[in-house]
Amino acid sequence: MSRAYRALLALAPPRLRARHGAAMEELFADRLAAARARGRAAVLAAWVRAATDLVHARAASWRAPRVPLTVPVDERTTIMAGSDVRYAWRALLRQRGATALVVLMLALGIAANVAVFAIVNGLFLRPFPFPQPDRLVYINTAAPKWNLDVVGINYPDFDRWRRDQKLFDAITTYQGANFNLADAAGAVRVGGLLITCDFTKVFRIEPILGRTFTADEDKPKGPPVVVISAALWRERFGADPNVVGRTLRVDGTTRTIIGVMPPEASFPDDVKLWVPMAGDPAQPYQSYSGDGIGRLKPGVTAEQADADLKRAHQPIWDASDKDHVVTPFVKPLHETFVRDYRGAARTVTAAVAVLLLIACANVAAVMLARALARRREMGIRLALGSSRLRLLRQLLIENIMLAVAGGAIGLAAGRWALGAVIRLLPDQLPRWAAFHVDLRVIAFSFLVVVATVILFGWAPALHAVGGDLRSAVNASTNGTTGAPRGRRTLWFLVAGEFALAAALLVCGTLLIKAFDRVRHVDPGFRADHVLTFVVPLSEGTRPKPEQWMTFWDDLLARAKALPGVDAAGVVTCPPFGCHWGNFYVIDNALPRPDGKDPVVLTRLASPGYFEAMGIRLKSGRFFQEPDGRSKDSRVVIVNETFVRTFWGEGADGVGRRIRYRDAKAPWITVVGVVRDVKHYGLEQPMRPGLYFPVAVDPRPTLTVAIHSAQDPTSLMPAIREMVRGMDPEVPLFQVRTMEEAIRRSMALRAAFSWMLAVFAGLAFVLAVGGAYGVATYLVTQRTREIGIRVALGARTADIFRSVVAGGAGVVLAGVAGGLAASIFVARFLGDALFGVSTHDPGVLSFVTLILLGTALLANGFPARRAARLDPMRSLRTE
Amino acid sequence: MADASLKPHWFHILLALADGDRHGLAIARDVQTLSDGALRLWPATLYGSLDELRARGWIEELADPPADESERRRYYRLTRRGRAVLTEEAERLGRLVRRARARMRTGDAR
Repeated sequence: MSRAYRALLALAPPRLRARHGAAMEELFADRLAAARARGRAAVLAAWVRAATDLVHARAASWRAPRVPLTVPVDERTTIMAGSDVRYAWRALLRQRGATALVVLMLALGIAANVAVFAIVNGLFLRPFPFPQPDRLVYINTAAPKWNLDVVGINYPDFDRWRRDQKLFDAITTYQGANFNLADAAGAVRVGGLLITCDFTKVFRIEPILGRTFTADEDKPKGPPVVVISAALWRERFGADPNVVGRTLRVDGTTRTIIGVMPPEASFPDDVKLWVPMAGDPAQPYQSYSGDGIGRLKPGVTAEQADADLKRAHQPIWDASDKDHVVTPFVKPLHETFVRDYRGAARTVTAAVAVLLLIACANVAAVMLARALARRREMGIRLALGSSRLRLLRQLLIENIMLAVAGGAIGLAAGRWALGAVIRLLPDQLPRWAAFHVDLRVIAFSFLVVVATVILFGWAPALHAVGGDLRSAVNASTNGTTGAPRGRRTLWFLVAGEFALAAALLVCGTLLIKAFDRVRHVDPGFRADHVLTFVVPLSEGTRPKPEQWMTFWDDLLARAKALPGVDAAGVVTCPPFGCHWGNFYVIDNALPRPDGKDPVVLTRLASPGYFEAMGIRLKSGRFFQEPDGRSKDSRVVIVNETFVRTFWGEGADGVGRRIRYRDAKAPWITVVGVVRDVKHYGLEQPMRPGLYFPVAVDPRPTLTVAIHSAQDPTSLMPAIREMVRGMDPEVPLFQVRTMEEAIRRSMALRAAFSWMLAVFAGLAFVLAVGGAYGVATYLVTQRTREIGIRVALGARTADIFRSVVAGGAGVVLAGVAGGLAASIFVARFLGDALFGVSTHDPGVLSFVTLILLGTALLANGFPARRAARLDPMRSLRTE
Repeated sequence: MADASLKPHWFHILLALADGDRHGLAIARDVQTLSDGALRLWPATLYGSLDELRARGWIEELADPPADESERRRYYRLTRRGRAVLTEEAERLGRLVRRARARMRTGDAR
């Protein structure tokens, strides 16, 4: 019995147990004896009562402040951090408002950092999902003399490299392609790769079922085999374990399924099929259209591999390319697949770091104000025998608790924000990149929290316990502006916040202005009421170009007959779509100073295309029937840049001639000059471009453009019905309006600009909030002084001015510093500014006005309150 | 710390010490008698209160050299301040009781 109670005593506060344990047992024994006399129920009640008594005492010991004087010296030295945590908890709860504010500000800063870091992590830090990804490199060819960074890989060249290279485990070449899959359920279009058999050795991925193709299957006229993705396996075959050996109709050819690849093999895009490239090294004049990936041998660098490939290429130069026009190169994989995001990611990362810095400065200011107000308490505790170290530890623990709370909320909010950002950029981010809150993100958040504690913890802690605390105790009240050093730090923090916010606001506003400028760039076509979609024909069912042309003529005739359609045309590459470059001999061309021959964007279009897209004619005429229908109808339409580049500013192109480089190629006459279409994006420069009539060289896959006075998407059901009526095996995809195409082409810039603007806005709110908080605090601290001044005859206006002047001066200094810095910092935005000057006067004055205006308000409210103080009341506030 | 009223068990403990020094167990028994069995002090409450009252200087521990720490019984004594607090509280309660009686009498009359 007494043993049982002794065990229960573990619940009691340790000090009580140490002092009175034996006596407590004795008393309980007494109570128990009395209870036994009254029966079993009473005994049970006594035990319950004794237990609650102990728990209650324990709880009370947390609530009640210790009276330090009664703590013996030996016990004081052994007080554990547990009591610090409880004390900190109480201190934080006592000021719920300030605590909530601090946690909220930290959570905001940390959330933004977590979200952005998760994106940066997914794009740059997380390796590609293959074993030893650092050994993977990108291979392609460049043609510096033709002004081309990337030409593409020609299969015979690749075959030579594959045989002669020495520093790679394996290399592979592939071409992204879309395939028509047709079965009883209907026709669909899926993405896939034509790839050489080496790819499993390069990526080191194994199929989850079956096998991948062999070198014998990767030959011209090899057996028709195909490897499918796990997704296709599930969608189309219901994850049938016996799928290997079944067949699939791919582009009109029946192929045997030999394997299923795991989901992570989907590289570089959404790949559903792997089809043997079946290249023929002996066939001459193959196109330069492949991409390459290689796996380096251990310890080999990309530069060494680059040299190795150039060495392997030497025989080709010697045999057929004495001028070294086409040069192979090797680059780390990441550089190729994420370069578009690198600049944006760096800027956004810097912006969120600044945001966190501002949040920290703000938190530091709030904590410092609190700490200054607590100097008296600290002084008393020091006098009662606490050490400065102990007090510092106390404050540190408060800071850690705040940072942990802010970090936890921030992590959750950051996950949410990450989802929102990814939804904002659906097809701008590469497929293989995964954005998760993984271990690395959590570790990063932890580091941010630690950095936060250090950044906002130093000022309050030093000011609270540093210096002469005895005078803090002696100060009869806390209504005087003691600690001038603390006040200076407060103002320093506010000025710093305003400087950072100003710099961020300038960058954000500049980007918004640049975004607006890009949005208003003339795309060179009419974006509204135009619908485009891609129709691919299977070469299996229609092997001859004449059959394709018949199909297109039929499709356009039917489309124009649909009610509501005013114009319809086909083109090989619509704006923001593909690029097909070519070189031409230009009759009577100006000499080129750099000796480089510019590549010309070459498109094939039907006569109705220009009308459907609203492309404007500058001179001459559009195509008309029967352009391109006969061999001797040789006409071309060129763009303004083409005329300017080859024949000079102001020249009229109509009537001039061009031809292919082939010596026997006939001359082709320019019949029309059209305005530039911003083919590569609104903010990209246009290259020389031209259009041939599509009838000259019909293609199996074309983009159809339709113009309608009504909402063009409403025509979609009729169009689908029409195409199905022509051939049920032909799918129709990438249906979008040109307005949507423009929006998509700008999605990355939009996301980038708005993210920065949002961060700038948050920074602004934090800075103004900080200024307001500090001004309010300082006015409260000056209550007594203001009271005396009013009593001595100071007018309301004098008080108001003195309060506002103090705050406004600091803000002015901060803003001035921030603007100066921003002119320097904005330069790093570079191309993203799209020609907007880094010291754009409109932007700079807007930011200055908005910051100074709100800072004046932030100081004005506390100042007004101070000016209206009743001197008698303010002197009595203590 | 200037509570308007004294916690009931503090009052009882001080009262138990008013007519002589006692150790914890004796105080507990005495309190039970004083309150007609209504107030039973459980160990943690009793000894927690004794520490608290001692910290406030209302009672003191008798300097009794311990023969054996575990067997040691601590005796407590009311200090002058403790007695003053007790007297004041008793008078306050007395006034309250008188007022209550007076008010209840007028209430009966209605």
